[in-house]
Amino acid sequence: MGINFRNVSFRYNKKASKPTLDNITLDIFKKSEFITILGHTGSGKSTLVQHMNALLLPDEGEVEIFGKHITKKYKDKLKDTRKKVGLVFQFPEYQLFEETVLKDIMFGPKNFGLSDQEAKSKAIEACKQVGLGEELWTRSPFTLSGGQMRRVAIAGILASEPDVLILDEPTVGLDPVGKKELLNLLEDIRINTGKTIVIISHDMNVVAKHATRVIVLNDGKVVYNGPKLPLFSDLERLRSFNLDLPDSARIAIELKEKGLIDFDELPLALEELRKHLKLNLQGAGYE
Amino acid sequence: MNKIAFGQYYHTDSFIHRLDPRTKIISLILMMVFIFVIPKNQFVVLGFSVALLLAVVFLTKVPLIRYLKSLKQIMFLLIFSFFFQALFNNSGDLLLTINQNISIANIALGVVLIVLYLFFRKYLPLKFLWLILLVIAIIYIFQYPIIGQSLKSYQLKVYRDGVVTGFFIIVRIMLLIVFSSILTLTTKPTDLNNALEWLMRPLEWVKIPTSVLAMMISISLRFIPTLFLETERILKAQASRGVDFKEGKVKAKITQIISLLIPMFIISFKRAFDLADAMEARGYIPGAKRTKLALLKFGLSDYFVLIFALGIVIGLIVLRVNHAL
Repeated sequence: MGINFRNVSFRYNKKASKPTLDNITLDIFKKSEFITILGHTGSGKSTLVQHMNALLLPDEGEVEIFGKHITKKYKDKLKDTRKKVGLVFQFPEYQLFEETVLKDIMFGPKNFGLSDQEAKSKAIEACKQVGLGEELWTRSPFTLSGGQMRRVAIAGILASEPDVLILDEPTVGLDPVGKKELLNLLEDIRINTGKTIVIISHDMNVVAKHATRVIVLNDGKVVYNGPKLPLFSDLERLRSFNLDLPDSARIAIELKEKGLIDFDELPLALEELRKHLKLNLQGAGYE
Repeated sequence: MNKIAFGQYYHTDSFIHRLDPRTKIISLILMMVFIFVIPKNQFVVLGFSVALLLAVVFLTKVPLIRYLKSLKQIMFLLIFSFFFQALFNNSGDLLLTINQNISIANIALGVVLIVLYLFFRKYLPLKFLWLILLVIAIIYIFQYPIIGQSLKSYQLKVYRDGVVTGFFIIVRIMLLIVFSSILTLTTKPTDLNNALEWLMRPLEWVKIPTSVLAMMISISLRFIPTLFLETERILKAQASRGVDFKEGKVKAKITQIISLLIPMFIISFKRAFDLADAMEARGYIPGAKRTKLALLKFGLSDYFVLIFALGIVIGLIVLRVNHAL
């Protein structure tokens, strides 16, 4: 069970010759994956994720979302699909509207048919998950800081307990600390609840550190779908996708080229780099 | 991003497109006066204005379908006013008398026809033609009692004056709409706004801040597509939280609408504040004298068009005052 794309094509402008999504076949399962979607602006990333909870319907092909076959002509209700696949848009803080933080988080669960009481307990649970303290629950969401508002928005989706959680560039506009906290939070959610997390990101460090699978889109086509190491090891290909290396890998390559330290495997996180350096330096007699 | 085309502007390179927007607005006003000054029964003058209109439409090089689309919206009004005039205006020679008998079967059949029309309306091309057919069919049905006794009978009388007046009304409204469409199809919204600012200049004498008004209009025009995109985004974001704008009871509906309205208000205000800051940072002072990037300039063709439009209006008025028409 999961989200399966079968030869999906989509175009915004029906007369345009070039489709936004071009014959995409892709599987996303509910098995605690951390998937990052990469691709430069206009490659169809946001369009792709909007197909994952049927906000957009494919022009050609079929998206199967937890057993529901979504095609161009799909007319039935989509509520339970959207419950199973939670989508957090870019700058989600703008979707807040209720009087209090808690009420806003309860909005989703209530729409999906929970009673006030159940929704409230789910909301409180979500608040705890994203680290919103009790003193904030009764505040108006508009008095919070940007980072806090984003947490409220994410909690609003989490409270509906989706099986797959999709976030469209969740770290844009956050400071480095907020960014790190948010990503650790997502990692925790994935490990503790077994949900699959899908994020769109431009930050290669994020990809290198967290992703268990990378999907690269280019001109509406999936050009890479697999683990991160082979992708970052193939510099030629990486460049053809217009993508960068993560910082740690860049440093490692630089060191290797200068003939200082050899690497068998590219370090994809700064911690790995540090460990490797430490080992090498100790071996060479440095402390 | 540019999938939303705001306004009707259709780009071609034509004589009409190149005219100064002020010329086009003034000529439109003059043509409106002309159309209303045409006396009844003056088919020659009416024919002249239709010919003039067709000539201008041809000059714009805009596909004819664009003009027809603007007419489509008022087809119902046109048909209604024609039948109204034709059936209820009782002067001039009697052209036609139609006997009408009301019986229960007739009414029932009429109602069935209307319901059928309302039901199939969505699927019919050329709706207005079917509407005309419907009216004629009902009048035809009511001529004879099909089953049973006639409850009441009356006569529909069609007089010459009614038909002529109806015809004039239809042609006049069509002329007005198409002339206005020429303006909006061949002029960019920003040009229109600049021209309006110029035309409103005399209002500054009575202390109305026309430049500020024009700035407001151009900012609104600029932000319509942006806000449209934002609305779409919020709609989708709330749909992801389980809002289904198609269903729900009244109370749920209200919450759904609030969940769209409040974010939109907040986004609009935020954008407004940001824009105000950006404008001030670049030295914008409300009401201060500003220079323009796109200067409006009357050319030879503008004078020609204006003098021609003014000429035919004055000519027609003079003829009418002298009872020559």
